[in-house]
Amino acid sequence: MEIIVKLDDLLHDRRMTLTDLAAKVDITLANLSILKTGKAKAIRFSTLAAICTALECQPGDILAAEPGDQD
Amino acid sequence: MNRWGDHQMPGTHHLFTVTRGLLRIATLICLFLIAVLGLALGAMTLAAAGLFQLPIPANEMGGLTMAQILGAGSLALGAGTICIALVAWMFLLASRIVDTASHGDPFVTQNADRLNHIGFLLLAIQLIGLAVDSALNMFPGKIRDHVSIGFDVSATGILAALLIFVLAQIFRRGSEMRAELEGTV
Repeated sequence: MEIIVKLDDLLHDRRMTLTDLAAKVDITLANLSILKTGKAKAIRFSTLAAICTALECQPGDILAAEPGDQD
Repeated sequence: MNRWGDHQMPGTHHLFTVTRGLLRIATLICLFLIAVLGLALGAMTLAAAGLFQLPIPANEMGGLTMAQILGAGSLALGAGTICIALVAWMFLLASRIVDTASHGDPFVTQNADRLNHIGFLLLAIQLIGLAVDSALNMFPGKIRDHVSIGFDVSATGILAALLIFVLAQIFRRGSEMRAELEGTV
């Protein structure tokens, strides 16, 4: 089972760019990019909460579990 | 960019600077000693080849032959030169570790490797000390009153090497944890 990040879809639905999101939450564009491209190894609750607040969504809207091997 | 940023304790920067300076001075002293011992070894070799006589009065040779004196002296000088070269190498590695601590993140695999090298160098010095000590024992007893390399096997030296190996493992784990943290957003 692997965890995938659906940030791209959420941003697309809300007509937002990663730069817009970075401006709304206290996270660097570089870190958001790592998260969006699935290169992140872990995510802090504070990061998740900040993104949920900015996008007005639930953690489950951002993350999903899919069958597959974890790195 | 210093990753330690504001988390460094006050005075840490000065500690790194002073340590780095001392390590460089110690390395230079080692290089000077290697040059001096090298010259002495050269003189011994020339004397052994019969190109000149060492100015040792016959009544101070204590019944030893010139060949024995030259043999034991060359052995001690050779081993001493090698040991000091290993110590200089150790100082150089330690200096690089301090550099990484001063300029960036010390928890990198290179520092774990450097610490491992230092551990092996410490062991090598102990082994050379043991080997030369055993070799000098084969010379007549009287020669030991005059010839010594000043290194021998000690429990402290072995313990120091073991502690350095443990520290290397701690640094390796630290570098793994650092890599993990870098993937955390």
